[in-house]
Amino acid sequence: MKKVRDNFLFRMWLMLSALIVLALVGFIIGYIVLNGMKSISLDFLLSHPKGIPLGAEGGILPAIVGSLLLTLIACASASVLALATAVYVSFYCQSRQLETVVHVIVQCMAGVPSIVVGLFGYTFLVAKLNLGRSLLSAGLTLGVMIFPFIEVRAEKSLREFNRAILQSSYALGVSKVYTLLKLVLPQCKADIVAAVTLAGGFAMGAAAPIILTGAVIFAPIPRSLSSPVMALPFHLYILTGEGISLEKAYATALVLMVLIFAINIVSIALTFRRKEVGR
Amino acid sequence: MNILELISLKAYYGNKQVLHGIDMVIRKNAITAVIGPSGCGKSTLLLTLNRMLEECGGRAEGEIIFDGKDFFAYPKEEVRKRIGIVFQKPTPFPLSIYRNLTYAPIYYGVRDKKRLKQIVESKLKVAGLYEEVQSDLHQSALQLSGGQQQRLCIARALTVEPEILLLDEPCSALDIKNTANIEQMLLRLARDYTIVIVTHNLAQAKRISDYTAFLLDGELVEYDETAKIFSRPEDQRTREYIEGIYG
Repeated sequence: MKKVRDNFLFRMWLMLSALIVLALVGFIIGYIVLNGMKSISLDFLLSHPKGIPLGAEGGILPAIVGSLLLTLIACASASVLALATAVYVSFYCQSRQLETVVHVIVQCMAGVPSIVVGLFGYTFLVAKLNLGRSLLSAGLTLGVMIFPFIEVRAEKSLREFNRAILQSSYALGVSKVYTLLKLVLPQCKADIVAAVTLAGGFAMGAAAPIILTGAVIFAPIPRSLSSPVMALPFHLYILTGEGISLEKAYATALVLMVLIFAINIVSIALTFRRKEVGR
Repeated sequence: MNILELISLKAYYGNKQVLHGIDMVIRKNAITAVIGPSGCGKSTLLLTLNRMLEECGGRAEGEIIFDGKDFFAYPKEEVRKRIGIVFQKPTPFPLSIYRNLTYAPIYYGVRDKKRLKQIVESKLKVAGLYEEVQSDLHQSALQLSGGQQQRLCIARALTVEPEILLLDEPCSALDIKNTANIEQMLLRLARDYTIVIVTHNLAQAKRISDYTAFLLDGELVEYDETAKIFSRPEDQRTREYIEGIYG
């Protein structure tokens, strides 16, 4: 009897949890879509913010472009470093201690609050390296934030590569570099790209790291890496924080959400394709 | 003629000694079988002979003369190119059949498409796989059966034109028909290559090898012509192993 009861309680707990999560997510998405749709128009997507205070009218084109550019820079800079770290740790590092040290550092980086990453970006990139509050500074700061996420996933994917196949490649007298480039990376490519896109979605939605390093209330579409930028999460923060326009804020949130969804879907599609191929 | 001469060869994994001073010569263009119970060091011996032991976390001591020169003085890549190895479990690369076979030649600088195609076809023919796969060389190698995969791995090992081919129980996972296929192929290959095969299958050693070495607990107990080992072994332990008393 006790068993039946426990089983029932366990099932209830799972069902309720699932229901609550689904309801919450559904509510958030539904609420933002309903409220946001009212202000969404082609004009909103393709024009600059206008009005007094700025943002009360007009559109968010520079913020969309700015967010996409920031994400691109973050992904590019983080993936180069993350891939290098992952390859080093899983293929070259001979010392266990060093490996542990690298892992601890990566884990610590993943645990640093995003506003602290932002402060680091400000003191190091903006002030010390004199890059100014710019697209580059903000993009690199976001890169620092997503680096550990890409590294962990890339390393996992590399480590899952069949060791016996590696040995067979070395046994042909072939170098490690050739093995990596021709055998390992093509196999892990989809996984790594999926990790980068997922991290890209994370970077796109983050406001804290860019507040101090490059995001501004208004800027035209950036012409160079040293121009300050507008970004969707920061614009959203200003619109609501300053009480400029709640309607526009919902619309901005909707655009941001759709972009991140799109990125996530690409990432899932890539992971899925890899599984199909591997079959 | 001797192609390899092992002089008091020892191998270790950490502090554990696996080979306790092996002295033997490997004769050119012959098939040498290495037999012995599990864990006697047969596989370690092969790994030592193409410098893969260090990739597997071991180290070797002693002397080997390869082609008249000190084996350990060669760059390990050169040793691996000249002494190929095929492992127990088939390890096709997750690429097409064609690219499995062009993988190493491209690394060694063969760029000409015609030449590559010729290498692929000739090695597949040598391995007795060409007839079965010629219709679609661009299918994934992972779709082949176990026996076909193993023959592909042998063909792949041959694409770099090694002088010696080491095989670590290549038939242990295969059925009788595939085993017979591979044995036929090895007999053909022995005309051009030197073959060292580790096997658990005494009948197989008897069928195909010219020389047989019996290893026990990391020591070379007896090494002689196959016919002699199987008919009049000198050592009591060899006799017992062959008669199936242990192992």
